[in-house]
Amino acid sequence: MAEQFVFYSLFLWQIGFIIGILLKLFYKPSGKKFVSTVVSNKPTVEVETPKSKPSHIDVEMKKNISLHKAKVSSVKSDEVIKGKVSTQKEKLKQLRRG
Amino acid sequence: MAKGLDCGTSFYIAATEDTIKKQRNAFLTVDGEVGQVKRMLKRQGIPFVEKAGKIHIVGQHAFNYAQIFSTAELKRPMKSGLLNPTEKDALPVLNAIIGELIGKAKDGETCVYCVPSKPIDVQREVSYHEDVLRTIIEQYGYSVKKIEEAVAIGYEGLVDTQLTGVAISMGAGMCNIAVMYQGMTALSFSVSRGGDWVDENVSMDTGVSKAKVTNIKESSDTLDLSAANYQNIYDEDTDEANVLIAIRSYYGALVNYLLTNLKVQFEGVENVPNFPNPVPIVIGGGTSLVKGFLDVFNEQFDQNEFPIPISEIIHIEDAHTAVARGCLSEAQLIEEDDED
Repeated sequence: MAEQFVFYSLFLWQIGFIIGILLKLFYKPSGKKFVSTVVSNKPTVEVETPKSKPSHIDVEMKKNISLHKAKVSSVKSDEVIKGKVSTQKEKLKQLRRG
Repeated sequence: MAKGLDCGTSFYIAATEDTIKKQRNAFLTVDGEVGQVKRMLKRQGIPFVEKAGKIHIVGQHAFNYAQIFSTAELKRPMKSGLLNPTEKDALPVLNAIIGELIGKAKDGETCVYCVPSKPIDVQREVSYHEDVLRTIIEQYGYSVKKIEEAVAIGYEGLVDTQLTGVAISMGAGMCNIAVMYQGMTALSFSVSRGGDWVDENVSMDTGVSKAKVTNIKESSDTLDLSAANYQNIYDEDTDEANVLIAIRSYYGALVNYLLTNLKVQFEGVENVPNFPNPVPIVIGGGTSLVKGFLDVFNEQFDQNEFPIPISEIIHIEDAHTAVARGCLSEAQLIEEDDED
């Protein structure tokens, strides 16, 4: 009876020892900690979240101009003045070229 | 060959080195069976445009018809210096007018056209107007550039003062103003009053149709706004005398409006140049063609109230074509630069 008790006792000790070694080798803790939560009775405080003002972006207008050509046109100029047209081109050229 | 194009409310004017072409910017829609109307107009050599089953008489003929038949409604592709938003048939007519005036380009010719400065008294942008004109001109094969209408006047009238001074273009739909210093535009804007505004108000005050007022303004031998002549009109009691008195009155109001707004704009803009020496005011455009115009301008001008010292007020030579010639100079210089 005493022999059986010693035998079973040693057997259980060995199993426990082996399980302990295996756990040490292969068990990785998740890092989660169980912390007991405390429910606060304090009222919530409104916090103004920072709002960034978006600056405007200029977008080029999509030009979709229809030309509306006439089916028939017989337009002639009301007045045509022939002869050298006087301009200030030469003076303008001198001004621009310094 | 470079071309300059003045896209005015009342007239489109194209200038090349040896020709100036003018086309009245107006049309009149003719009712009736299309084929029959076309045959009749062709027989009489009257220019027309056909679009979507409608026949429009274009240019001076339309203007003449509107005066003879008071029920005929003269239509305008442009209003107040910009495309007329209420006129649905404006674009085909404009396209035909521009096509006739400048023709198709040869070898990438340059065409410089004028655009109005941003108006200060109406809520309208000028971008769409600019884009439509550019698209039409490009369609004829030109390399296209735009300049402001008043700057074009400056290119013709301020070259002797190193492009320094005040340039004013008085058109039918609006008046454009540019304050220039050494070729740079320090300030430019437009007001939506011009010759049409004078005509409308004279018409309302005298009961004479607007077309007739325009005709008197443009072709009357007796219309002279100079102070000496004006006194004589008071003695008369005719319809024409009433119209002439009203025209003078509204010309004064128009110039006053222009000068007052120029002063306000000048004082409200930062970084305007100081003019240490007096500079000239140079005026062009069809609305300034009326005889005695400078007298009216000088009456309204007060140097003590004006923010810039003025040396003289000049009415530019051949004021009607000055904008087109300014555009032509710019186009010619662009072509010369490209050749260099």
